Amino acid sequence: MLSVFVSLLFAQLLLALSMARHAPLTQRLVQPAAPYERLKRGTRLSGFGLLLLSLVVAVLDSGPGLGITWWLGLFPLSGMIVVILLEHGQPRSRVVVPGRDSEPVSGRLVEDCE
Amino acid sequence: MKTRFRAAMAQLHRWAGILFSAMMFFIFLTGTVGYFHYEIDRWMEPERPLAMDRQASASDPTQTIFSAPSAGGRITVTQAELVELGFRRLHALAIQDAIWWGVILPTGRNGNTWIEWQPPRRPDGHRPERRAEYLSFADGEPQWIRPRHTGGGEALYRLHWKLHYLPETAAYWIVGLCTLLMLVGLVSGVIIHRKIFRDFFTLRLFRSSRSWLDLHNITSVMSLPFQLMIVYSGLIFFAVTFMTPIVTAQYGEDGARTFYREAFPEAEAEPKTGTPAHMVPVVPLLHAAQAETKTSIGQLYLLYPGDKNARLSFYLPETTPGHYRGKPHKILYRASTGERLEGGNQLYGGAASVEKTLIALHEGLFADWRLRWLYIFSGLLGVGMIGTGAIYWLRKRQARDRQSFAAVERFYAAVLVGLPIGIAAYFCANRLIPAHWSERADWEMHCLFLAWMLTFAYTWLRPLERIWRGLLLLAATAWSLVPLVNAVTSNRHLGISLANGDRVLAGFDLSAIAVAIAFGLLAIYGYRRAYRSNGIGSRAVAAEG
Repeated sequence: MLSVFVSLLFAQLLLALSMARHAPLTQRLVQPAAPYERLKRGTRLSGFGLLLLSLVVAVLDSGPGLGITWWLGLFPLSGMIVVILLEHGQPRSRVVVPGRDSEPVSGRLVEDCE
Repeated sequence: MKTRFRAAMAQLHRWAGILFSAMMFFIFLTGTVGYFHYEIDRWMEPERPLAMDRQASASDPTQTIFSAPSAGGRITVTQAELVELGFRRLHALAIQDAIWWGVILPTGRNGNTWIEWQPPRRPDGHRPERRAEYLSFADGEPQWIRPRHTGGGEALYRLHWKLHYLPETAAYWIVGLCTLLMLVGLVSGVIIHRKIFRDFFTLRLFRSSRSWLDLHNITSVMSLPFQLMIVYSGLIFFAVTFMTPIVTAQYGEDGARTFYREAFPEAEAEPKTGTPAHMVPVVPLLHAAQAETKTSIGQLYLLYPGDKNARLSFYLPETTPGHYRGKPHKILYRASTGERLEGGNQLYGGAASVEKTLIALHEGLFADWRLRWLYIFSGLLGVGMIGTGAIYWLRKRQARDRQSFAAVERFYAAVLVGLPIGIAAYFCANRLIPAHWSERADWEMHCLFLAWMLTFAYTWLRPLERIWRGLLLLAATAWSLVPLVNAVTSNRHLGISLANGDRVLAGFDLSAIAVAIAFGLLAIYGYRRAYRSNGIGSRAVAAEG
């Protein structure tokens, strides 16, 4: 199940990095800079591929009933680790959706309120 | 008049929602704790011996051996010896009128060998509690121990659907209705949350007023499959309660038993004859059953002990959620002759198999310790989802009308932090109430609710800006007292459990310490940061100031 956990962790990290919210981080991580749309498609595709692979490995390892149960249990655990990692490694600027976030917005990227 | 009526209705509407969320928090927290109810049982019965180690042979289950801690080092016993010791003790107790006897061998969760029996119903129809004795090798010789009477983990676990003080049917209806509303909330929440993927990995702690919403979304969405499964399967538990008229229409007023027999057909036990008969040796039958199933068996039950029609059942361990699908779950023998009986397979139809699988998923009995921790983690995410949702709701409204929501804030503080304090009080009461007092199990539970009620009094008596931090510090203190009280009042403290490698007992104390540290960090570090970033309490300060 360790392999399922690791692949879920990477799958969710890739998926998270393909989200607009983490665009600054994604663009900082990839050097030399690639066009963002292509980067987004690539990370999202590999993320979903790895996600599917982890499910297949879980089912092959423990059978459908137990494998899916394991997968669904590991999904939030790896997801929360990814979320906390990203929150911790967040650059000082971040994306704010105009009209949804409560801070005053002067553009797409605003300085953190802290 | 119209305005006053509308205001009263608004209050009613508000408090109905608040009470519902508080109830769901109670159900989720006590239900989550219940995933460790066997382990909690062990901790709450400190008279029980330290855990035995089990060394199973992969090729031959009959070669399974156990080692028990004793004063002179570890003692090794075989599976057959434990079974013989168990049945010998049951014969020696001469409890022939018992409905059944049981011998349970150690597993990673329960750690002990014990015997149990079900005394017959009393003349007034009341069914007494099962009785149990635990096998100890502490002095080198086998001894049988009766632990203190306690509600244990089971009483805590049952809270989430029995609500303790309420009549059973009323509790079922309340919990069932809340579960139904929760399912509606989950499904509609997914639908109304249009940008569910966009917010999937977004968490902004202590940065904005949206932190609580981020936390609520993250905990909800990450554990959504678990929440859907747990809520839907929870409803399945109440299916017959909710649909009693359908069963009654089909089977008549007293037809529930017939309905269950038809829906979940099992091998009917031959009735008790009243003719006494000797029992054949159990161990050869156990070996035969293990050879047939290639599985190590740990639970043996004898129905109608001493009778000609006494039936031996060897229960197979449940290893997957789909365990019930047509597989044998027990191997049966006639105890007076050793004849192999048919009927260990459950002959369920499709609907009954689905129901049993969902219930197995809900209870997670098949889960090993790693998967069990994932159940706990997902359950805690559910607790977090309800808690953060409640605080977000409160904060949104406090921005508009600060003063009128002070009562709600006090209530939520007492529910969200007070309940864990009550649970810590339950554990401490287990050690502090005299071990031989006959009503101690009832008073353990009373202590939980009394401590919880005291937190309500605390939130109402203290200034609003102090209640969160005060309660969090109280929770940290209460949970740190659990291992301390254990160390002072019993010889099952961390020094003993860690030295003997008793992972369950040590795990309980270490978990209590971890919970205490978590509350302490929330009180000192988390609260300060939340306060600075205009979080809970700060608006209230302004309101009261």
